Amino acid sequence: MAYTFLLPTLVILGMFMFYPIFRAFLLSFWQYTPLSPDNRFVGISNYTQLFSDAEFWGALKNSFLYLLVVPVIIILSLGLSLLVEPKIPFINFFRACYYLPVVTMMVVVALVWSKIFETDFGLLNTFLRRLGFLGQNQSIPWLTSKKLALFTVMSVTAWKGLGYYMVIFIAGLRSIPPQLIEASMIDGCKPHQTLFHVKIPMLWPYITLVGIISSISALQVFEEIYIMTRGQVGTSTLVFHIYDTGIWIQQGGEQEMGYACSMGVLFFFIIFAFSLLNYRIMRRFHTTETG
Amino acid sequence: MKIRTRALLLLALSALILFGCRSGSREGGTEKIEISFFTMQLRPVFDDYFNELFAEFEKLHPNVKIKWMDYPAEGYDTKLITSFMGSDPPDVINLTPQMLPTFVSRGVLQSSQQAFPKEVVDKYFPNVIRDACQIKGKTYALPWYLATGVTMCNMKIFQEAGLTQEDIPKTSQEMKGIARIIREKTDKFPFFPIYTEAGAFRGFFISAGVPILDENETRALFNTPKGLEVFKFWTDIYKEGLVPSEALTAMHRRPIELYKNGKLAVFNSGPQFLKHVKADAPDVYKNTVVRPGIQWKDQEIYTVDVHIIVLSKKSKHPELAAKFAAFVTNASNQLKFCKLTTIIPSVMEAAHDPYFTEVEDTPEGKARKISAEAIQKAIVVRTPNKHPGKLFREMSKIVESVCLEEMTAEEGLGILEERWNEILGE
Repeated sequence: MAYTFLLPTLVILGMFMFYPIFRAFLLSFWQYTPLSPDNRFVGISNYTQLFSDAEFWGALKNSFLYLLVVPVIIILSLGLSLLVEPKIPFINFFRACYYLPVVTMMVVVALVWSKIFETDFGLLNTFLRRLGFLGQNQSIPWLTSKKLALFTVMSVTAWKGLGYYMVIFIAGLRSIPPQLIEASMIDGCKPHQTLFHVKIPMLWPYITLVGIISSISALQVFEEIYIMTRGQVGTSTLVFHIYDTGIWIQQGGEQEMGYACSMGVLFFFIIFAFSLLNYRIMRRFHTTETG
Repeated sequence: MKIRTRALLLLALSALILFGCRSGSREGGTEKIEISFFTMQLRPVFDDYFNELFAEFEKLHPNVKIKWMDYPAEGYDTKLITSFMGSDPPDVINLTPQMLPTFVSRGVLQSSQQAFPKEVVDKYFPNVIRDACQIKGKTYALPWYLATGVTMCNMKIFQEAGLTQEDIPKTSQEMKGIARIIREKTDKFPFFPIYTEAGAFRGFFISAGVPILDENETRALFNTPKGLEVFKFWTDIYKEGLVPSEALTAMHRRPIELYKNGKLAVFNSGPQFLKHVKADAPDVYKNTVVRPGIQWKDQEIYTVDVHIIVLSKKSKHPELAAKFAAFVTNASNQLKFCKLTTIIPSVMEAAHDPYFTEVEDTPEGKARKISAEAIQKAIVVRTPNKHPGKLFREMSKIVESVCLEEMTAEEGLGILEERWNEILGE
């Protein structure tokens, strides 16, 4: 009977998740382009080709560079949660404001921010000029400089994710026994000492959780790159590169789906390693706490 | 509710979900032949025109029902590939010549030499058939509507820079001079070429008369003194700050937005965009003056955007599909379509109609005349048949590096030639 209840979920997961994963794994051993008459089995040559593919390594490097967004997210969302955790008037309004970007579609967010960051007509440069930080004809190429573009896109990812991680930290702060905080205050701790010696150590499992969830999200980044830079100016990350190689076709992309699948499989193992790390660390914390 | 009943309900729900994924069932008792028509970004603006067109065809063929499917340009070809992978692809399809090689190489299109009699094909502009509908001498499509690039100038920005209609540039070189003045005297930009979207930079070579590939697509031909001159010209313009920085990352929509916002002095594009300017930015439209497309020095090469109609090889009713394609693209139907927006017909008879020669004194009227006159001298910026995606990616990367001053134009063009030859040799 239990299996009957599981059946609808299993059927849907099987159709839309397990079968595509299995098929992608098989395709990674093929030279495969949809409908092409030249499709053929090529063994592991897609994988060996990856080693000499500079674009692949460049994209992988960018994906790992994107992990820099994680400490920023942790620090800012923790800071935000400390600000909005106390019960003061209108606090729900502020919480809702910070959470709003989370429920806004990334496509919309990326479009709006790309207008803000536009070099010549963008809001940010205009604002900086008005404030006198930039000369009348000066602009910062936020999205068109190879040194800046990836970090600019990262800032959008961080901005959008803050509210989500803030909620996790609020839950964490609420789980701290109030008597611990009271005891620290009675012992004469100043607020910053309570923060660093009581709250943050108690929040460590939450910090780890946020760190790992946001790392996996950072590795999977796609929409921001696709909309804000189209992978130009050295911003192509691995998921974007997989899309560009295997799916993109507008006006002449080849859709090398077999090759893209080999990247996808490799990437699957990278994400899997992160998930395993997540599981191990969480289990260690659980063991430490309980026993 | 008992557990058994719940389980049965769940099973019934799953079955409903699964069967709900099936395509729609057949209509009524008398079965009609359905011809599906797949178009790019025409709804809802042209709904009335197409509904009338379909009704007329269905009146001529009472056993036929046209099923119209219209999709946005973004992701259009991916959607089409997906439907070809399914069991019921569309019969008649609207494509662009840039998309044609992809579908021909995958063997899903019917050759129009088999589908259409010679007297039908001979009615279209021969240069358009050659450039837009043929691959290796074999015809796969009928041309539909066209648009030769015209130059739209916002005279308000020209005046702000102390320029008049006399100063409207005819060549890219004149444009550079005007651009410097506009940048110096206003906070606007003179123009906004697109550098990296879908290998757009190749258009600069082709418009200047520099071939990019040999006939068999075995080697790159652009690394010549003239090719270098073109390459240097466009990358220097970027380095000098005469075009917005986003030229490296933007897609074709951005210049249209900026022109409508009154931030761009010159906009080079098909005349059909005037309709959008008129509707969305009447003030800019009022100040718009239209001229023929900007040329490279003394070259007279106009590039033309073409929409073509192809037939699916998998069509269950190929003869009816061919009749419908010829009907959609015939002279009278194209002429009616052209009267709704500023596009040019691909049938010679329709293009010679007084509607394109005796025009009213409005930007749209002038654009129509200029565009129609240029058709016979126009060329299509084609997509290479072999590895276009890889070639375009390399081109974008090198253009970007030269524009961002990571290498010189000479070095960049040399590396690009080398990389293209390697890719073409794969």
